[in-house]
Amino acid sequence: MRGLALALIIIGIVALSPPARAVDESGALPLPVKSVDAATVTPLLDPDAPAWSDAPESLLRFNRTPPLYVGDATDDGHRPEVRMRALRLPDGSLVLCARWSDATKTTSGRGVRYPDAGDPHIYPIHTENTGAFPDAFCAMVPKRRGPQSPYPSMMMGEKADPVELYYWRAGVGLELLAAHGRASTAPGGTAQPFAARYHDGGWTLIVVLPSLTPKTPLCFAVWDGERQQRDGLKYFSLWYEAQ
Amino acid sequence: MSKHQYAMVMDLNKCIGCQTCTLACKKQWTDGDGMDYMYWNNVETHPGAGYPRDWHRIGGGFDAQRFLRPSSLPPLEDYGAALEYDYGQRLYGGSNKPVMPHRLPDYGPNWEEDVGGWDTNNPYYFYLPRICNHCTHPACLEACPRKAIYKRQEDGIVLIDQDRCRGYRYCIKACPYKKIYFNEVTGKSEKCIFCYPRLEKGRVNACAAQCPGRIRFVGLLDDPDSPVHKLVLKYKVALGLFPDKGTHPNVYYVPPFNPPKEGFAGRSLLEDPRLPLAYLKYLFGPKVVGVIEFLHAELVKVQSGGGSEVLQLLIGRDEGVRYRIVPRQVREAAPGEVGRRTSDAPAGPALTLMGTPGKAAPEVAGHAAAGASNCHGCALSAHCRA
Ligand code: SF4
Ligand code: SF4
Repeated sequence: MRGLALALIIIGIVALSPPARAVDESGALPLPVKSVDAATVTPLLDPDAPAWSDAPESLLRFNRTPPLYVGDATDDGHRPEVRMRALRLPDGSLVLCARWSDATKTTSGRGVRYPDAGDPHIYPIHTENTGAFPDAFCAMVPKRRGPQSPYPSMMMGEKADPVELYYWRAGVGLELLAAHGRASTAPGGTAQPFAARYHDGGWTLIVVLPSLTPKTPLCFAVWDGERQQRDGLKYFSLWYEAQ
Repeated sequence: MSKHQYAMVMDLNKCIGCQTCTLACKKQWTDGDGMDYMYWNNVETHPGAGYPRDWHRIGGGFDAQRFLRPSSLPPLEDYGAALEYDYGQRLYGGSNKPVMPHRLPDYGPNWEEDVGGWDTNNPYYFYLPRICNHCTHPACLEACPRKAIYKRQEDGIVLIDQDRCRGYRYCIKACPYKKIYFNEVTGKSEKCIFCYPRLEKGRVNACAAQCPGRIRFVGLLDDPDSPVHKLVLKYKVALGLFPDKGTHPNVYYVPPFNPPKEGFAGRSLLEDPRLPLAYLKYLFGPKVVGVIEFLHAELVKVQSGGGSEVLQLLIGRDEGVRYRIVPRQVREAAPGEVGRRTSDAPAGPALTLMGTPGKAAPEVAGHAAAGASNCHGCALSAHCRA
């Protein structure tokens, strides 16, 4: 009798559950995109270029990860205001223009070589800052493009569903990383063109994501160096779908 | 836990604070870009703030429940920025201005040299040379989310995989000894590698090889014939720094047990402490008192005509006594004979000849004779002269 009741409950749960795809779709947030017929990406690396003026702008929803390690700062309630515009080129590339608020510009130095009137080659470059972490931004996309369900894990993808990370750090530049799960990031190929500028209390960053066909999911992260954010300590968005 | 563990013992009674080890290491490993402020080996005066400033007060290591207790991240100012001079001015004429450093120094790796402590009429200090402790339970390794830090199974040396490191610096916060350094040029963290490329060729660590005080002993802890095994496990006269930090360091120190504040040579620190015992207990834990008592008893024994293997060993007459390097190939080829001397190890008397009662007198004489020209007045010098 008890076995029958259990079977009925299980059948009921299965029958009432929405299919996995529907759940994923309900979680997807649309990212409007404007198509342009620019032949090259170079002029679009200027946020004041005419192509950007009527590109639809979305205010993205960001959250903060919980503290990961003893002594990490707890959530102080602050969230950056992140606005995103996106252009699609005829070759399928997506050009993103992200603008986010950050009261303090924090960049990562690459050391300083002090001038010397003698032989300039005998002195090493000096480390000038041991405690600074750069402001940073990342766009994560599945390696497998196009619509998909379920989405890869937000924790840097997974073995069966790897991701690409377009990871920019102030003072360092843009890196393309590949990952298939937490702590698995590794160099992922040739870096793409980008442009970054700090002005009026925030960063504007333009990055190019190649072959981002419509409905490919993508999500974002922002790090505030002033708050010692790096690694998993960050602001993050859920998955968006480029329209 | 590794299969084998290299360890170093430093006899603090013999360190003269000359910084030769510091420069040997600097020249060998850290004269590249971004490494200017780093001293994988540093020698600091104690009591003192050390390098980086206050490293032993700010935290790190594990608590009693084995949770990591990270400290703050020391800023460059607490290490002391390396100074650069416009040598061109000096070498090529330049102006009439004196050659000045590029910035005014306000701290440095040896900022408090010989300052030490003070109680009524008794200034006191000693030198504490420090490298990474290649801990048995490395807090740095545990803290790294990238799993970039690893402990070699074959010899216990703790290394950072430079390809995996992304410069997050959790390791620096976690290390209670602050023995990992951030390189701004590479964007990665770097640390003492226990000279593993030298060890693999049968050569001892650069800091030990150059030490005129002959304070350093190197070998495998699990090799019963190695001097470190004898000093740490057999005689138990060498202790790790800050044992309460929970990382189980593998650099051990023979605590300063001489000379006395006043009175005749040979009186122990317990009878006439020049260095407050409380400070030694702070650094090495409560066991330090027993070590000092034991060493004092050995000293009394020798002064009364007896022999002492441990004091003989601490004299560290030559490289064959102080070091026992067994390269990996040798260990792997003959795991059952881990203590076997290698053909390319430095020449020296067989360890088994050391410290046997019958050999004590000639070897003490040997120390005085060999060291007469460069005797630096270590703890045993009074005994040598006697
Ligand atoms: S001393 Fe610090 S850096 Fe070295 S192994 Fe121990 S915890 Fe790691
Ligand atoms: S070289 Fe030897 S004696 Fe000189 S400071 Fe270093 S450890 Fe001490």
